[in-house]
Amino acid sequence: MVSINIQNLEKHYGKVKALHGLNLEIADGEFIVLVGPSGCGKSTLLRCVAGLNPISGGDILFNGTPVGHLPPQDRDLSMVFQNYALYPHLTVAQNLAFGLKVRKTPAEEIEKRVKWAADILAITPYLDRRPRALSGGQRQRVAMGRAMVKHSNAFLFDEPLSNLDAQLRVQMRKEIRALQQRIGVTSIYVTHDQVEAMTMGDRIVVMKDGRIEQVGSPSELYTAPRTRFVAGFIGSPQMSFVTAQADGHQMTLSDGTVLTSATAATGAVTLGIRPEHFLDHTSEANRLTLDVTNQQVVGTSTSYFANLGGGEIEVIRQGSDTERPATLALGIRPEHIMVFDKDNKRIAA
Amino acid sequence: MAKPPIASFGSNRSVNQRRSAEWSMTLPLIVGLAIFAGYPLVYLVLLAFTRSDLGQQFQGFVGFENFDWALSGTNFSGSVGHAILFALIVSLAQLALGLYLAVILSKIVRGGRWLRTIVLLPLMTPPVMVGIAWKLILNPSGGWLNGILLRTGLIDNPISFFGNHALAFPAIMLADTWQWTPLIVILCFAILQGVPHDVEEAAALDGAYPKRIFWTVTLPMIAPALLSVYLLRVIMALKTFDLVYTLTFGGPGNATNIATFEIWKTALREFDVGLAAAQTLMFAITVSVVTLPIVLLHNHLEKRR
Amino acid sequence: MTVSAQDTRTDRLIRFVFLAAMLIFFALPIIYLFSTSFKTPDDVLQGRLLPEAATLKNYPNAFAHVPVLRMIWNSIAVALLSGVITLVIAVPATYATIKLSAFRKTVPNITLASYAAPPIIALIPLFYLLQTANLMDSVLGLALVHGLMNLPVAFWLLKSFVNDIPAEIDEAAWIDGAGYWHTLFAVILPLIFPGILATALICIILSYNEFLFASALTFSEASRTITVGMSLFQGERLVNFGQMAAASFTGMVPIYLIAFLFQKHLVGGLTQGSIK
Repeated sequence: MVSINIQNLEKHYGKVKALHGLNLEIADGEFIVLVGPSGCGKSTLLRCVAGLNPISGGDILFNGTPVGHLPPQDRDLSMVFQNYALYPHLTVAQNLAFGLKVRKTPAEEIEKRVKWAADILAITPYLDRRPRALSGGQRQRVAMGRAMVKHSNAFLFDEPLSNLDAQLRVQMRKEIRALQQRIGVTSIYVTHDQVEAMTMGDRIVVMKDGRIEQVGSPSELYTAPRTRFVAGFIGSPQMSFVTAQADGHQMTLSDGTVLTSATAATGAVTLGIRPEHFLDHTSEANRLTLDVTNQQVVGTSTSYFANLGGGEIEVIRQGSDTERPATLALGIRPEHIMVFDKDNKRIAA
Repeated sequence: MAKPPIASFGSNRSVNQRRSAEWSMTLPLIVGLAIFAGYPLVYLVLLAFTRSDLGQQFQGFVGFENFDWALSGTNFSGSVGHAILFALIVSLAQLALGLYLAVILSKIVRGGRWLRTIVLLPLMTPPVMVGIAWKLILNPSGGWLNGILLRTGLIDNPISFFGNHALAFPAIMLADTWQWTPLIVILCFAILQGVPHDVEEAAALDGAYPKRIFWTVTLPMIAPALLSVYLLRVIMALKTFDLVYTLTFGGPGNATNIATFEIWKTALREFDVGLAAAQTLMFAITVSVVTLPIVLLHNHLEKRR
Repeated sequence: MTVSAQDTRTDRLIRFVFLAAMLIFFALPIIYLFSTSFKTPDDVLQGRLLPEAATLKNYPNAFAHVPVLRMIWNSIAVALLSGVITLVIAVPATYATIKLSAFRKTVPNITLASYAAPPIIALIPLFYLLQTANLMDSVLGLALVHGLMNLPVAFWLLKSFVNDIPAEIDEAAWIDGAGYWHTLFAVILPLIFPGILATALICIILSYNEFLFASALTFSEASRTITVGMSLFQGERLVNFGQMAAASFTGMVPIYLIAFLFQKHLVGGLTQGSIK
């Protein structure tokens, strides 16, 4: 198990730049999640670490040793693919043993490790079956097992749960995380699902257009996003944005509404408010009365969509409200109004 | 469980090992193609510009003399015309027959295994034996077709299909169609299987009748694939040699003398390999010129999809 | 399907008649050849479908007249050997081209171009090459030529089978530490086995059926193939059609056996290779 150090990593396809000089340090045993919209370069980065994509510049270091020039065979990694990529012609046991056999591991050691992994993953009854005869969840476990038995330097996950149904996905998230903590192996996990990222990662790397937008713990990204993109990407439902004119702490919206933010700024800004941060009308400094345009009941809470300052914002309140109110009277704390400048950077409070 | 990880990347192997795998895997093919296609091409060019016979090559540089002679003093240009005509006609006939048969077969649910075997047999038959089988049927003395025509009184004297200027080429085309239509059937069948049903069903729900669906929906969709099949068939038909050799030997006169046979005669009957090389090069160029429009049309259709 | 239910009765009748006619058309020459192999010379001249007095003599007489079995054996030897040569060269090359993207454009284009070129182009140069290599008039020499001749076909057939294997399977093997050759043998070969079998069968049939090269490069009994042997009947002034049919039919048996036993693989290989 290793620390992984990515230095100035570049990847071009011809003239197209896929990764623009990335820097990232991953500690030994850390679970890092790469998240971002499709085409942001997260899978490319993972495949560069794996050695599947040759890098165009910079380097990757495992425990300080450069490995950027090594082919995938020599990086001693484990990878779980989106479609699992199990060997269809081999049984589950043979699938698990393949990597060990390649490395000329003694037979009894192979057997021991296969048994160990199969026990943990509860796939012992299926060891003699071929992948075709397994369910999606079972295949997922076999893929995990294949990664585990090798005792490799690091685990790489490429959207491993996206082919599972929602329920199984939630369960496997927990299992993968528990397993990773048990083994203590450095892991890089790629997903486009920010909920998955938030629930699994020690730290999250948010990527956009081949660049790293921000690296941080889930709570850091939620409470202190550095850019409007991160603020909008992290958190569900999405943060609502409204444009405003700032004069110190006073933010004037286009419809004349004035909000007080804990952040001071001047000139044209964008305000960001998370739907879950709205409070009752009575309690707080900023008081708003909004015209409700639409509403959705989501289990025990209700989403309202309302016009504010020329844009649409979302508001989440507890309780299932089946009748649409014409207006909502709400409050919002000044510290919950994030302010972003012209370049979409968040202005610190 | 923890183990020293650095040891595993202490090896000197590098990304170059991929390079070497690529080379070692591809090199035999490249060498093979060089021997079978590259070397002959170079050799032919050298032969074509020299006086060369089978026993002794490269007796002296003669410039374009072989080319001149091939075009003016031999039956070569006529034989190229025959070859192109033959290839375009049989391929088209076989494509039409094969496609229709594939459409019919795609509607049949049962008995596929037997039909498949019957269809497969002509395709598998060695062309020399195809020639023999058709010779037995079309022969003037003891040919089955002549037997039937004589017995029914349609003719009084047996017809020599392979000795008749007008009938010899159609007879060869018939044998060729017998052999190769099955390939078209198999390919067209697979193409039809690949047509998404939902489009046809949507057209049916729109009230279109089966024939109309075929002409306006299915056919445009499979046109590029059909054109590939046609191209493949034209290329193969331009190589035809065995049937002419066994059925007519180019005759009567030069009626069925196609380019490959003319070249073969020049090289291995008249032993003038220099002339044969010039003919071969000109034929190769002709093949590219004939197939190019089909390739372009195919690319055009493919792009439109 | 509801669509065919709308076909009119006439449509169905036309289709049935056409299908029946085509099936008869495909079957009759083979049946007539088979039947002729049991005809006496007089019987042949009658030009009827079935022999009047069937005789088995054509077979032993043909075998005595021309070494049919020896030539069939030569053909089989050349076909099998050439099949091995083709596959040994084509399988790794296809894998490297498709999965390692080695020479991704050049190799397919060159193979396609060399397939389009009429084989007559290679005949004269290969004639001299075999002469120099002292492989003229030998099973090995012809097998080499056929082995190279079938490379483009094998490449294009195998290509689609290799293409069907998801890239992640290879990548998983590489990450498991398997080298590229190891991946090819331990992972890819078992997965494309149906494709390899189909390709092998098609190449073997193409070699067995080949005539042009065989006729120019083999001439003694030790190497002459059955297709060349059959063409020898043509040159004779007084052809004994019964014997010719008997020899032909015997020569077709190995191929028809393959067609019968492996029809599924053959059809699968042909369609997979050319459509995709």
